Amino acid sequence: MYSELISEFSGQPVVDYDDAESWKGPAKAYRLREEYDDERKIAERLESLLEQPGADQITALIIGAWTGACEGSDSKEIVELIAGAADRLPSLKALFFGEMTFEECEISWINQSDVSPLLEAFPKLETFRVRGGSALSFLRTAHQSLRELGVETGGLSRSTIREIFLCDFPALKHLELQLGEANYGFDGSVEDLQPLLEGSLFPKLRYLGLTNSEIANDIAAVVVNSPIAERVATIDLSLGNLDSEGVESLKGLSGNRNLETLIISHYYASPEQVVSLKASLPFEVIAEDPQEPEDEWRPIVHAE
Amino acid sequence: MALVQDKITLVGNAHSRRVQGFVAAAAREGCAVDIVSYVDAISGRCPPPTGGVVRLDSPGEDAEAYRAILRAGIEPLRMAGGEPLGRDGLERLKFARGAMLYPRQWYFGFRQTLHQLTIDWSAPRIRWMSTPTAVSTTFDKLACLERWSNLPTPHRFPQVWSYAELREAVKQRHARLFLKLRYGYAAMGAVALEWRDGNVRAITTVETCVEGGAAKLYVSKKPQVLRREAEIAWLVDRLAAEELVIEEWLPKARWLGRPFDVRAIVIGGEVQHAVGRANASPFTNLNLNADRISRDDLMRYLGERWPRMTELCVAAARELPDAGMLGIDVLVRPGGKEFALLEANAFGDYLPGLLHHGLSTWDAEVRWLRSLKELAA
Repeated sequence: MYSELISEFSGQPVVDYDDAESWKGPAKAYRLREEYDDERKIAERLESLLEQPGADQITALIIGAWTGACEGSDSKEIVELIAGAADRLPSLKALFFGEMTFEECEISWINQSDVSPLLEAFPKLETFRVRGGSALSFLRTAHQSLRELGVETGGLSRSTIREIFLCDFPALKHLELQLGEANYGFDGSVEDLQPLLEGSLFPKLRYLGLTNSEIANDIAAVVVNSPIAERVATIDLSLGNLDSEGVESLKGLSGNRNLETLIISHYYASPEQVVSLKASLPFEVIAEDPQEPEDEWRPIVHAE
Repeated sequence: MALVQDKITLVGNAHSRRVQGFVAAAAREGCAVDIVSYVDAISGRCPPPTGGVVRLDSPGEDAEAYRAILRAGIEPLRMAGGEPLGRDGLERLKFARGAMLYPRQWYFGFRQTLHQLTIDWSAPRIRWMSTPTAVSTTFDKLACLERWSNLPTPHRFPQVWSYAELREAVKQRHARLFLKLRYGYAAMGAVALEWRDGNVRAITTVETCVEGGAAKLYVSKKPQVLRREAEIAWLVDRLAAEELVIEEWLPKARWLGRPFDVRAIVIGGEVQHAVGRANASPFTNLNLNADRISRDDLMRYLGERWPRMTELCVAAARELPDAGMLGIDVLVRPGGKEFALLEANAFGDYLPGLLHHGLSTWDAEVRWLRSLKELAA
């Protein structure tokens, strides 16, 4: 679970923006968030931010917790608010929508909505991250400059996965899908990932992240022989429940000539199995955060 | 001219680092310290001091002192309508690191012990650094908060004796509550509880272990997250039997993305040391591995509002005037513009390595004691 808010985003230090006093020039990643019971809403904070001299040069923005994020209403209103400010944020290159800790709102409690209006409103956007999979949608959209997409969820539904695969992101280099677990909304299987694994989507893709998954072993088994593995530099299967079975499958990447890095951090395989994996692969293997192989529950990192 | 404060009697655990820290600080100033254990103080085995300063220190890290204090709590707890663990049970009681054992009985025993000391140690030339009454008041969180009724504190809800009663008493569809043991210390038995419609979640410092068929509660350094209501209800029921203080769970300002609060050391009515405590959980106690934020960084963060924070601590300490030293915990609201008092700690000076003007908390306390002119003999 996410217990801390980030202090850097898109290469810039994060500043929580409350009012004019918080303004530190445009070279910061400003975060707009509301506390529980906050009288000052994100809309007011945004308005104040946009009034600052040089606000039109802001390149990175974070939208944190908003009132009602976890209650009945979805994120539509706040999506519209941010999208509506696009002409006053012409330089925006990085947007993180919904960055909140589990203490503020459990990841599965965050009520998202269709976020494609954000992509459409900011044609120069290069990085888009979103947290929360409930009701999350990417209604078929196209974006010419998006390079990095991160979808952080405790459970990503197959319909959202399908929507993402139907989007046209010709410049996309970095894709990270936190798939989550069935208890919190993941209802897919490796079959649902086939369009991506087949390699015809996202022609510029270099970083393939299928993370935070409770079917990490299944993914490992199919990714090794997938066409996409033949053209990316990084495969990231971290944060999930990969164990010895998955690690054994990943040895099948030994003949891969383009991969530079495989990430399996947060794994349930034994140290010996990881040593053996590293020995059999001709590229870097990042295996941090070892978990107890005997753990019968094998939790993934971000669920609930 | 001899000073009364040249001689200090300390009640505490001679083997604890906190007592050793104080003794070393006193030695640097040329003061001798006589250490009396709580067990001896309770039994009356040691002769009462005839004069000088008396410092009460923590009875912690001493199983026999804990047992003696629990024993002293049997009668007072029974008088208060509680059901104490009796003498036989006490003799069989096994102590384990972090175990939460009868905190309410412990408080009643501690208060009784301190009360007895004021009677037994009543020589006119004794000066208490903090009086026994002041010390026992700080161990009753509710009593402290009531003394601060004119100062900013989190909104408080009436006491309840069960989870069901709590849900009944707090009718909001969405609530964020902070539950603390009324007589707990060092984050023992703290629960950050939230419910929104059908969802309920508790983050707590309590870890439950089943041993020999019985569930026992421990203080956990890693916050535990409970998401099943039955589990939460069970825990709240257990804690409520020891008496709770229920406050709204106020958001805190953040330091590098993590919530923090401030521990300010008030010595003789002045804020001296101050340390921010940032943790990636609702619990910022340093014994739960929170990171320290320096006084200088805090001053920079709060800017012109720094004096308001320190004045609030001084005002809080003024409500406990017989305490020579207090560790005041202050919540900084998001944005750093408002504050709320959380609690006072009579033994809140255990901050090894923390210096202010080159002095440790203990150095500063000894200096203060020696500066008290009215004590000149």
